[in-house]
Formats: sequence, C-alpha cells, structure tokens
Amino acid sequence: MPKINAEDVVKIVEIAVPVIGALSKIVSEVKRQIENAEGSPEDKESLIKRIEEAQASIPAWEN
Amino acid sequence: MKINSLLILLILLCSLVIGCATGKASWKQETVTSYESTSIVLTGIYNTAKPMCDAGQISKENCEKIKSLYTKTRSAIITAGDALKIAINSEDIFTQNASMELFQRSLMDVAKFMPELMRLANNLGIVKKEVANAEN
Repeated sequence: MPKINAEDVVKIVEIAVPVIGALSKIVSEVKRQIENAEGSPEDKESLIKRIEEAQASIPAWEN
Repeated sequence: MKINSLLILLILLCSLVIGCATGKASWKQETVTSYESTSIVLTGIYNTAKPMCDAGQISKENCEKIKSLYTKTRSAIITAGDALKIAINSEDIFTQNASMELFQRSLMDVAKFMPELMRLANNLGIVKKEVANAEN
C-alpha cells in the first residue's frame, strides 16, 4: 500500500480544485444552452418544418 | 504517478458528466426523428409498390389491398403529424396533453396498419424490389 505524504495531498488538491471548478462551469454552460435550445422559437420552427416536410414526402396513392 | 492517476480519473469523471449533459436530446427532437423515419419507410413502400401495380406486376386485387393499407397508414401518420405540430407549438399544458393523446391514438393506428402493410409488401416481393432499387 503506497503511502501518501502531506506534500502529495497538497499537490493533488492544487490540481484538482481548479480542474473541478472549470469543469463545473463547462457543465453548467452546456446545460444552460440545452435548456435554451429546447424551448426556443427557432427550435420549434425547425421541428415543425421537419414534420411538415415528412408529411409532404408521403404521396397520396392516386389512380 | 499518483497525480497522473488522479488526473486520468478526473478526466474520465468529467467526460461522463459532460456526456450526460449533452447526450440529453429533448423528447420533441426524438419524436420528430422517429416520425421522419416512419414516413421514410412508408414512402419507400409507395415508391416501389405503385410502379409495380402500374406495370401490372402485381394483381389488381393485391394492388387494391396494398393501396387500401397504404392510404389508411398514410392518413394516420398525417393526423399524428398534425397533432405533434400542435403539441410542439403549444405553450398551454392542456392543449399539449390533448394533442399528445391524439398523437398517440394515431400512432396506434399506424402500429395496427404498418405491420400488415409490411407483411403484404414482403409477400408480394415489394420489399425485395425496394432493396434492389436502393442498391442500384
């Protein structure tokens, strides 16, 4: 079992704290962007356009 | 060495967290994608079956059967699409719920007709021809 001395703990904390801080900011920003995209009018318009295109692509069977 | 291991662990953990955050597609996007896929399958059947019927490669009786099933399925898919458009566009939760109920009912009709249509298309060689057309 390797021993961890006080110096190692300080090094680990020095590296871990800013990394965790930066990553939590990234995650918050990504979540915020996803939430905005879900409810935005642009997104609704694009989804409705896709449905309309899909509907229009199915031809009626005429003799 | 220990610090390297910790960094690797941190990177893995963060990749997982970011993956979970970005991997969450909204139900609207997922539903529209499924809707598009269903319409592509149905259109594919039409694009192969109709010319085969016109060319007399399928009997009149079978053409009438496949036409009838196709028309019912198409009608249900169009209704489902209309309901989905209202559900996506609506801000009101009651309208959204009512539209989603209609969407689900229409999808049940699609689920009723589509397997029958696929079975008939398969028996009449339409699916085989469709695959051959796609390969050429």
